[in-house]
Amino acid sequence: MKTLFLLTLRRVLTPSRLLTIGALAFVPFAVTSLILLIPDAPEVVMFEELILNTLLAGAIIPLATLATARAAFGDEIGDRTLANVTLTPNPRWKIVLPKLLGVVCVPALVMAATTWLTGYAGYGADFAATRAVTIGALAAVVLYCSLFVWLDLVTPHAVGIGLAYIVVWEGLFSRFVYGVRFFSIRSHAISVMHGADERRFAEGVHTAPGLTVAVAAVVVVVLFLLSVRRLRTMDSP
Amino acid sequence: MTTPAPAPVIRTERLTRWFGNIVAVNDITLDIRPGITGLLGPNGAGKSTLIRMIAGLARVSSGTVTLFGEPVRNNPPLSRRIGVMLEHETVYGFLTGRQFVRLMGELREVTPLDEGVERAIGHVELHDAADRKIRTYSRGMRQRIRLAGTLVHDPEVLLLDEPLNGADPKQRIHFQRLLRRFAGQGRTIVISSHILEEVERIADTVLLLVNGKLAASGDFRAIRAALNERPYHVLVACDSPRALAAAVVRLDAVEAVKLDPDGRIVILSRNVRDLQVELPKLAQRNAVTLRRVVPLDDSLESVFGYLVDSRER
Repeated sequence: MKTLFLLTLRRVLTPSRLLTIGALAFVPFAVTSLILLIPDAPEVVMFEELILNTLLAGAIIPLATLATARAAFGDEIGDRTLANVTLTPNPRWKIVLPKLLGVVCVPALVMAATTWLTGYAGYGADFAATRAVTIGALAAVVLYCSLFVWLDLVTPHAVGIGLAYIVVWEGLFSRFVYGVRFFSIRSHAISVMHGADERRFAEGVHTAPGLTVAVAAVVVVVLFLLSVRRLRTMDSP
Repeated sequence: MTTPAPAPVIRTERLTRWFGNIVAVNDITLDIRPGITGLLGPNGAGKSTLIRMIAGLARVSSGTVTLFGEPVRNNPPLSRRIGVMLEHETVYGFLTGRQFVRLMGELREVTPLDEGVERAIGHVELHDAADRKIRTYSRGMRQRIRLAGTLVHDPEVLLLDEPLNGADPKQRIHFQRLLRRFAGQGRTIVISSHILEEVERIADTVLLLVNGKLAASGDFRAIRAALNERPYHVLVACDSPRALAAAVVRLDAVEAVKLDPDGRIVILSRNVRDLQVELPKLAQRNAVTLRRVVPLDDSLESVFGYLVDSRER
């Protein structure tokens, strides 16, 4: 598994991917810093809604993970190297797991660092709040990566479908259609932030912290199992 | 007393694969035994699909395929015994040759790894370039390092899809010797190609695939004999077509001669090798200058088409 983890990591750590993730991750911090320069800085509620909810959880993290998740299987399907991996004595779960970990760890590290900076700046050095948003961002990275890794195995149009999902589902439906938020990774990330520090996103409707964590775990496990199943049944290019 | 044939290692039964409305492989039943088996057919005949199904990489629409009596699909432990080299390049340009072979060895749990890697690189004689990035390799070198990656776990079965693409003549000879040596060790080797002569030089047994169907199978000499009986049309352009036509028609190798409206000769021959020898001599004797000699139906498709037709007759 270590070999596949390192191979995936090597695919993630290309200059273009690092630049994409780095640039995206820097945006919330940059915007927060700019806002703080305004004499009448908006209230915390606005910071949470615009920067953390809309920008970070609804756009930056899904875009960054969409870019990195491709390194797990999408690239290998594209350049036809997947057979090198599937023609091995390893059970399929031992292929999916290290690849998933490989694509999670880089955006997780980058997002954790920049979310920490963003939270620290936005909440005025409130450590509990900063920790809460960082935990929420990490949960979002894991959930989005699990989804996009599976999507790459299911369709050759994963990037297009992923972008449509980010805009239509996370950006529109999950915000304005009642009930859809239970099926939104963005909403789960916000619920995790709220669960880790109840003062944050205090005005929203959130699922109980325990339920949020349980649902997130179930979603990750289900997507993982679906990826394993897909790898078993698909044609290797 | 005759030695019994070794048991088949690869067995397919009524193997079929559809892609939408297209039948890529159609109802193929075959047994492949140790030794070198050539899988021959024109482009699009279904060779790659058949190899991928035998390797377990592609699903079957119907029928069965087994290796060593075991189903190949979703049978990861079986991949310890198979080495597969697909038609398309499946290398990581960012790795060196040695890193690539090492990676293949690690994924296939080769022990001891260093020994396996060096042996595989030695098989393809690529020690000198093994520490260069694969992206700097020529096409032939990339084929060789892929072959090394295929051999690193010392597989009993080798499935090689168009492995000689991009290889120069020296590499081809080396490759043929290597495969012969492996076959002599009792391994089962399937090599696909669309080049008749290439397979003829390597394979003991041939499977001919046309339009997804098994058109012929067996000893190559029998298939070659059938090919030699095939009538060929040869177009000849010269400065004196009537004189040459009158002379050519008397050759034993020639069945018929036609003069086309442009003053070119179309010769029908069942012994094209003799015709190749006799035609220049005849032209010289009759003081005729040959401008062009073109086989009209020498494409692989027509060769296979002939074999299929003769099988159906």
